[in-house]
Amino acid sequence: MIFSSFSVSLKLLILNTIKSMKNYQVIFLTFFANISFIFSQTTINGLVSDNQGLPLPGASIVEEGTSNGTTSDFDGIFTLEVSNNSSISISYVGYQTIIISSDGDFSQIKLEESNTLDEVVVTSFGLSREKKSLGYSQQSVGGEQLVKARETDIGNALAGKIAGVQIVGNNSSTFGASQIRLRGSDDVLYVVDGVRIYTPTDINTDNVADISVLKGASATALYGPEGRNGVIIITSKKGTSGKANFEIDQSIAINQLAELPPYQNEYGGGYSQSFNTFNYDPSVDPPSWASFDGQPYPDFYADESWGPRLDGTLVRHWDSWTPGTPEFGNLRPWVPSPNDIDTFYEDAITSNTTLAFSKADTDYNIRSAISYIDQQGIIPNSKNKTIRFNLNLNYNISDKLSFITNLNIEDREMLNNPDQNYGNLGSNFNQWWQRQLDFDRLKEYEEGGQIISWNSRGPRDGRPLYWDMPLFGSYENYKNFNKNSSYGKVGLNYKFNEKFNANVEVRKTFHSYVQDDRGTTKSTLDPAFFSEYHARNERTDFFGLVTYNDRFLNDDLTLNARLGGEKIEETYRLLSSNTNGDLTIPDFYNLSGSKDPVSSNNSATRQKRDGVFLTATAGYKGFVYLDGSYRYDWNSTANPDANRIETTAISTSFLAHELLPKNQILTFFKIRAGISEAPIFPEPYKTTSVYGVGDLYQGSGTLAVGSQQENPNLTGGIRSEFEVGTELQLFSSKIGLDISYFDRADNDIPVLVPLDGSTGYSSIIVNSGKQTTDGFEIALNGDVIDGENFKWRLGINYATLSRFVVELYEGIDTRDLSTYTSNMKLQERVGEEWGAFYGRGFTYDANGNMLFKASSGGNYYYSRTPNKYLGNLLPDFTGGLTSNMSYKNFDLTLGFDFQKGGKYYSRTERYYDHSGLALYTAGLNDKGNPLRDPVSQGGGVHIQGVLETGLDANGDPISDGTVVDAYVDPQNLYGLGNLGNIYENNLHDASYIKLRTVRFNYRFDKNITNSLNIEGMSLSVFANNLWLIDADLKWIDPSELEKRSGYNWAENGTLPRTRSIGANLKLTF
Amino acid sequence: MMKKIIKKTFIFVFTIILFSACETVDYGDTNVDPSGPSAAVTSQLLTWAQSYMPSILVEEQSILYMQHITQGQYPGSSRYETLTNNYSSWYTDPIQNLNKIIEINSDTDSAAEALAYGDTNNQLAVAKLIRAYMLQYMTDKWGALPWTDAFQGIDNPQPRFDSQQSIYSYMFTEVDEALALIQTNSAGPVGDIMFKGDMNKWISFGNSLKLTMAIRVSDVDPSTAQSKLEQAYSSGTLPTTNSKNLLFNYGADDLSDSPWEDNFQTREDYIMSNTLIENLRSNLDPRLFKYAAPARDSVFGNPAFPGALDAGYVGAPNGKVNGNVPYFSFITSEIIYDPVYPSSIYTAAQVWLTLAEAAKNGWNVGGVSAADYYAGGIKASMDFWGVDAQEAQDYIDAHPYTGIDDIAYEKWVALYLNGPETWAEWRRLDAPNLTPSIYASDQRIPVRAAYDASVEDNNSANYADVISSQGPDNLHTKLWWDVK
Repeated sequence: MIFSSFSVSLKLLILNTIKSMKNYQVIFLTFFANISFIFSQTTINGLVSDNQGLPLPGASIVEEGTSNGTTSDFDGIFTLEVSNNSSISISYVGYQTIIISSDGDFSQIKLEESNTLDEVVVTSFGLSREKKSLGYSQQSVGGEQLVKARETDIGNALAGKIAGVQIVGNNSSTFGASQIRLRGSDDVLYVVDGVRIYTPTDINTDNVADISVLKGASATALYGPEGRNGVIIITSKKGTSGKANFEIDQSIAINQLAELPPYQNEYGGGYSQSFNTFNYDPSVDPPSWASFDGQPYPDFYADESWGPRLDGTLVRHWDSWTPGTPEFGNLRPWVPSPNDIDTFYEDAITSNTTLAFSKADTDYNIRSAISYIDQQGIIPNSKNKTIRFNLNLNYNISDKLSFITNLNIEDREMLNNPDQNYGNLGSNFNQWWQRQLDFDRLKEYEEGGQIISWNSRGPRDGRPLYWDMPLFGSYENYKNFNKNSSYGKVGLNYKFNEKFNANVEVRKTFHSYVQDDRGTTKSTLDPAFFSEYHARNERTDFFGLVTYNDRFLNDDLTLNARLGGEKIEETYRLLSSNTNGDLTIPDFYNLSGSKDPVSSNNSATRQKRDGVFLTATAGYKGFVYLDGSYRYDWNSTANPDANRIETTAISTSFLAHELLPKNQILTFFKIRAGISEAPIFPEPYKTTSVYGVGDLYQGSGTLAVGSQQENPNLTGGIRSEFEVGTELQLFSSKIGLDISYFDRADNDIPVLVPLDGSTGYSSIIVNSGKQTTDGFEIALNGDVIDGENFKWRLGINYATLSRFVVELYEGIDTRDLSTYTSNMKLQERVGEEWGAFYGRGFTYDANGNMLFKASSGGNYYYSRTPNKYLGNLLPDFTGGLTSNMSYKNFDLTLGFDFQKGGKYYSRTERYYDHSGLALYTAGLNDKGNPLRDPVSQGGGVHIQGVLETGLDANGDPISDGTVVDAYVDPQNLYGLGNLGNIYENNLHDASYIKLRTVRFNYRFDKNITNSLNIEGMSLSVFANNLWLIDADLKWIDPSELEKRSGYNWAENGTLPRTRSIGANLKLTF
Repeated sequence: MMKKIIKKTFIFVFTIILFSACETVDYGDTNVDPSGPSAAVTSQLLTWAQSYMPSILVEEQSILYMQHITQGQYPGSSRYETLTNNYSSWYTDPIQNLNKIIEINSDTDSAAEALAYGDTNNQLAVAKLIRAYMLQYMTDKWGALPWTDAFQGIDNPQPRFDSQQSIYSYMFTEVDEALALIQTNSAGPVGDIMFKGDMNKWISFGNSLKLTMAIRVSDVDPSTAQSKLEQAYSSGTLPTTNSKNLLFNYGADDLSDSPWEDNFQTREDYIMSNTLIENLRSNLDPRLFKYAAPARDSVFGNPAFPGALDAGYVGAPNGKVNGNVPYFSFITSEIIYDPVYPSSIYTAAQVWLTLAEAAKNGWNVGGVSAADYYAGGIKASMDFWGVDAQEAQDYIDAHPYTGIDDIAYEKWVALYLNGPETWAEWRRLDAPNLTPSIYASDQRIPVRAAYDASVEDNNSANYADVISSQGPDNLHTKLWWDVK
């Protein structure tokens, strides 16, 4: 380790000295490999900065035409051993690349900001290419943007920064990770340093140097079937040549409840506004209850809040019945809760520590990092601990042969990852609750060895009816989750000469999950259970690539060709088992404790793939480029007689500004276009079918004919995509604009066709149908202020996407994608936009009047139209806005993202008013009377519309125009049989705008860090999920919706959204 | 070393070029799912199919329509809120299994392999009988259904509907065919959890099914009804005493036990309907004390029995939000809390009451009068529920046979909790007179179930046909046999 306390120039001098000593090692190593030097070597040292002189850490310094390179350190300093008379390129994301001869001056390299002019970006297989040569859209995010906010979720880190990236599905109360949806699909391939990984949660965001997002098939053609929906390529940080580097990164953040639904606080729990009167019965009741005779008590068994007005009446609460307990015998007033739901959730602390060590020289580059994330949940007794270890190692065995390896290990332990879904806490508090309950009195769930609950069946039966105390689940029903995963590769690279290079890699990704869940034997509500689940994912990739580079026509024509092949094997194994009936031994949680025979399921899913490809890029005079690729894929999942798919891709990039006279208005003008194909293979086991094995029934084994019909003719299919775009830079590159349009068609790919059950099957996978997807993606960046000290840069991006269902299968025009009962469905329908909501809706007449149906007793019901089109899942557009301001050592970054249009269904809201919890179920009506008062006494909710008087030919209600103008009892109106049965009522607009990230960063001056004897120090304050500026329901963040059968469309029992605020300190030695 | 690498690289390049010439790659059996067998065990297919019987025998929707019980805090079917029902899983789950058993036993080679699981003809007979039983349940619920065109998978994704009339005619043939196949001297099917391979019980089941089908079509096809019913009667195998009742027994474990027990294990969603309670009370029917339990909390009905024995028996208004369930009577605890309490498939009471109607029609059922069969039916029912013989006789004396409505009423009482059969017979006989829930937004008791919306979407031409022949696809179109 070098503890630097010198000035930059002094440090360079010392580095030079150390460097020359290191040369000895190089010679030794090369001697050992029995290969001698052909070219003589020289060492270059330098400093990279921006045009203001601020150092640029992480700039890339590469010996042209070789893989020899390094990156600059925290202070922009680098050292690199290079061949004499070579050209050295110095590049940095967002800056113009400079090429300097190896004998040139490297001491003060100033890079000009460029946007895309000569930017070098990461593309398929980690190949660095000049962005201007790409015939497709590509966008990058630098790793430094992730680290400052200590965002542990890669999806959140990308939110709002890249056009066409949509973030879906992770409630911020849980420990799960969000997903990225690219061009409408979230089945996106993640590749870390060449290794394909299973889930973005495997990525250590602290280790990321660069994220490159490839959206279209042209960009991802080389990845074959797995890359069809887009690829996120992550490049890890590398060591800095010539010096040892040690970094400590520590952040602390607090995650807090952000928003609860607005509740009414006028009425307490119960099914009616009158209390029960206790009738003392000496034959069943204890003598100590004798004095309770005639006293009022509420409906304990009710988990709704249609009860009596909270007017201070003295009543016998749920906790006043057990002799010997503090509240026994006490009457307490019936008043609004002094400690409401917000007091239940905790402030959860997340600590994130990363230590990283790196060192590099001309012949090796090593970086290792270890991170420890200790995360608490806002629900008591939930936590998540993750340890990640990474090692990246490259070394040159000779000047031709180099060895590359990386290894990533993760160990995760989670306790009680909060469940969303129906029936869990979020559903308890927001769907089924008594408003007057005081959380201070609900903490204990056990009293004198008895399980107690506010929701008892009655004074004489203390067993809970629907709900235990809120903390019961957290402290009694444990759920453990453990993940062990690793991924990495070993590879060899051999450089024959300037023209030919060969690369072979073996990559492995491995995941193992162990999960258990238990229902306590203490429960008087549900039978006890224990279940355990083991899953194991494994994939092995063998990969080889030969590269050929050449120049022709006096270097005007460049050619780069690659021939490669891969062999992939994937295995998934699962073993899950659960007890049945009950557990026989108190407080013993094990499969062996099952009362009835244990249920078990074990399965294995295997598939094998092979692929070969040839790809070539030709460039002419640096202003026109042509890319072509040709690929074959074979897959074990297709019909064995036709398991090969052939795909091609062609794209071109044309730099029109090269033809224009030099000017300061249009400095860069690129036009790009491409046509490409991607193979799509079936899932495993669709060409053959086996019988399903069921549980024992009355001691007999059970078998079932599979409900999905086998299809022996099933083959892979092809997606074709056309993409065209332009990149512009205006006003001396102060403004950059990137526009893409894509049009994709899936034709005869393997799709699930629903079959009417009377065919004997529920579905079959066939090569059928046609769906088209198209959209615009626009990114605009510009300097608003570009002063000496103060800079303000804004980036805005915008994307549209529409997907259209042209054909499913002959005669089959509708398919359910996911359903929530048969009254709310997410469907694809021929001739309509994909992702349609169909369900039970309101009925309006031609004049827009609401139809009501009259019932006995002056009651009215909302008329309902069955199977009505209610909206669509896909938004009109999505986008983000990023603002970066800097003043001297201060940076302020704001990240917004937004969505317009799209729908989601809220089940929470359905019960939230049904149960009388919602603010609007109480208060005054338009006559100024309490709306919960009897309608006969001026209460009720005012409804206006027309009367249903019959049905039309489709079975939809119609009206003769008779006016309905009435007041209706709210408990009936919001009830399940009335408004609660109009599923359209709980469908919401998914539009939102959100300030997702704010970070404020301060980089300490050199004189401070020098006095502390360290190399660099920066302090950030950050906030994530800070402000949901606008959304249909402010307590539901449409970007945090849970997944239901693969789609984020229906919320079932959501937990509250949270926000986190924290600080991060980074030290470099 | 360099040479080696160059050589290997050339081998690699050569391999890739060579590989590209392959049209296909042989992956062996990689794509065969190891988690299930490729060959069937017919006994296990049978058990799976039979495990669907409780879905018929304890079908809440029709029990709620019939006002034996109603719902507590969450009224749904008791307000007729279920607007469509999906028939698909009946085809794909139990009936596909039965089809497979029939297919295996119809082919000489595979039948030989399946001999280990019982005599070929007996396997065929049992599969056909359960299939007919389930089909009757289905057609009595929806009416016309795909059948002749069914089970062809993707080869015929839009099957035509068979009319209920042709389904009944098919079922009569099937039941006769199955009964003719039964070999009482050979081994019954293995995996028969209903009757443990006792083929005499299957003969009784087949004839009971035939009897039930016959009486169902008696208004629309009296000649078939008479001949089929007389055949069933003359077989002498109908369960005419309670000891011969055909019951569905449950296992003690949680996966095989009674659905009632599963329902009430954690929840209290169903309570007694005041329709049944008040009918039993006003008729001083001692079955009141067998069918129901007194309310847990002290709210009293209007007692009618001597000594106010029935004071604690309180039924709830149908379809009302009855949140305070402790105020109402529950189903008797032996049904809802005993995991092995059996469900009735066919009982003596049901047979006697059907025969009473046959006698009333003047059919040849042994020369016994309708009144005697009627009294016998009541006796059998009372006896089944453990009512003292004298009390039963007192009840019969107080309620002499006066006509078909008495039979209908007694069937409605005797078929307690057998929803599908009660509902079908109530629709056919139009008695007893049940008042629709006043809390329903559509105050009519449904007379059929409507098809799921997917039928209209994905089988539109045939759906249009079935509507034109059967009537609108709603809950109020009467089925073929429901003419009055």
